[in-house]
Amino acid sequence: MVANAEARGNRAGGQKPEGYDFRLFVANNEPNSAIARASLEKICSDYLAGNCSVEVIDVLKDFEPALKENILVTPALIVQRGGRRNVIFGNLTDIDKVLTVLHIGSER
Amino acid sequence: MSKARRTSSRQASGSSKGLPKVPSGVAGLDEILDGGLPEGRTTLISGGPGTGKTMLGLEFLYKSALAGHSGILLLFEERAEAIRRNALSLGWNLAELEKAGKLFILESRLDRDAVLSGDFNITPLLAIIQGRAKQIKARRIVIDAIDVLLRVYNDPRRESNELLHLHDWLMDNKFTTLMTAKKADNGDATSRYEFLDYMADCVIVADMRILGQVMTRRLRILKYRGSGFATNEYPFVIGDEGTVLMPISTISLEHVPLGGRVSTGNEQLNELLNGGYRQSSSILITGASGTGKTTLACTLAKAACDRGEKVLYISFEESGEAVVSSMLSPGIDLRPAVRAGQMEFLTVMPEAMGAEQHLARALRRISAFEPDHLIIDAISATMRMGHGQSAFDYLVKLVDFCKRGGMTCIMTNQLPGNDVEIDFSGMGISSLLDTIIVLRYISLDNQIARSLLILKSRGSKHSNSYHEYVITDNGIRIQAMPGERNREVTRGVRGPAHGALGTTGIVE
Repeated sequence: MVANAEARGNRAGGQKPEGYDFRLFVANNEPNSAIARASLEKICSDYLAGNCSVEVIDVLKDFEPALKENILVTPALIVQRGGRRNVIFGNLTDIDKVLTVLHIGSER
Repeated sequence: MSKARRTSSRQASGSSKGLPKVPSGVAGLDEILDGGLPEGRTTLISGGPGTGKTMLGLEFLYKSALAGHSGILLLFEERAEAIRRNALSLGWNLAELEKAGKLFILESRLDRDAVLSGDFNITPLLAIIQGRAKQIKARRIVIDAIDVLLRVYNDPRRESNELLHLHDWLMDNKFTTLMTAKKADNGDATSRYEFLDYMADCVIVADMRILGQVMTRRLRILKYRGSGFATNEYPFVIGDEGTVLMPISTISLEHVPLGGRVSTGNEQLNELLNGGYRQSSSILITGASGTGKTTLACTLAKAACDRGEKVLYISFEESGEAVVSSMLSPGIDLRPAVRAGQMEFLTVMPEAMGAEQHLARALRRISAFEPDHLIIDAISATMRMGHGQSAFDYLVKLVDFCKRGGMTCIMTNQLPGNDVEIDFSGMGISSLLDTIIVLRYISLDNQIARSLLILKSRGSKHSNSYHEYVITDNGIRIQAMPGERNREVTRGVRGPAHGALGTTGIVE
């Protein structure tokens, strides 16, 4: 699985494997935010073998980063990898959709 | 000239007791809202594209900010930069207000490429609003295109739930909110956003339609919880200085009483009118094409300017230069008055815009120039503004405005033919007129001549006789008809018909 992920990264980017930078916007510990954290942890360990960095931003503590990134709903995940930026809204329970954005899993 | 120009006394607070309101900032809207928007509650403006919803919201925030109340503008559709630029064309400097902390614009366009994975809610949006509102002490919010925000849920039930949640949140935070939503204007009962109407405390419906190829914007109040409101449809325009609504209800009878008599600039005409016409009256000069209506109006205008008064000339037919130069031929030189800034022209083709826009333009010019006399040449052209009713509205409101301001209003009306004596083309404005002068072609000694008749002069004695109306190289001359002249000559009476005052009958 790990090898698979890295190989996919190679093929998609055509260059050496890069890690995923995740920024997860949450609203404290409200249910969807809690679910999203758990989902993201699972994705990182199960599909990316930890080849990722995760920053969790609580919009209720500080709204400025959300304003800057135009994030109006939570949970929201900004995925950055090799200059590409993707945004996913929702609690990330639809893992297939997340994997599609990450260019993994279509062959699972 | 002493002028009893009244500022229209509009009551700020209506009869809706107990319901606090805030002014909408839109000219005329507070009148039909019986005081303004409900404070701490949500008002919805719905309508199709191009109906002016965003402008109404923007004006609310702009005027509020100028009055010291900060506000937040959430844009779900348009770009902040476009809004700033549009506002600047009205002379509204939003950037300055933003810098001064009176306005915060959030361009909250949702990421179209975003992928949805599971449930979410709009907590960050609310956190941003709350945070900024606290920073700039804002209590007023405009949410432009709430339907775009709702679309992200892609589930009708979810949309209404989230909206109710937002509505409650806005109320809990005591925001006075104005939200706009696009809706099909066919009143389709299956409308997806129908629940918006139920939720909002006040619902304003805006629409845009084409009447006789002229675009007209209208709005009406659909509901207003706990308050009275005017129920009609009201035309409005978005002009150079914002939105102006023209509620019929402002047509009050607060007219300034007719003033003293002033000269028409022609001795004989003064005599027929028992000494001249009254200041603040409205005078109609009506007749077929070429009977000398404009010449007569300009005679009055020149006399007014000679007295030091100001004249605004609204021309639907000719340019100001053309009017001034064509008046040189009958010896009426308006050039000094124009040079001295006593006489100004407002010229525009009737077809160029809708009646409301014409009206807004005229009213603005009148307010800026403050003329003592207004000439409208010719009111028959207003029919070309698109629709009979709008032409009527235009005239009624314009004359009403002049009367309230104590201005004298001189109108010309072109009749379709010589045999028609009185025809306002179904406009029915005669009750607004104090004096009616009828010009006609007549045949005198086998030649074409012109006649003049004072058909009506309210509250005043006047001649009932037809007189000959002659346009000379040196102004106009009004004299008794040849038959009458002969009779007077035989009686040894010279000059014009003195005896024509009062109840003298019409000459044979």
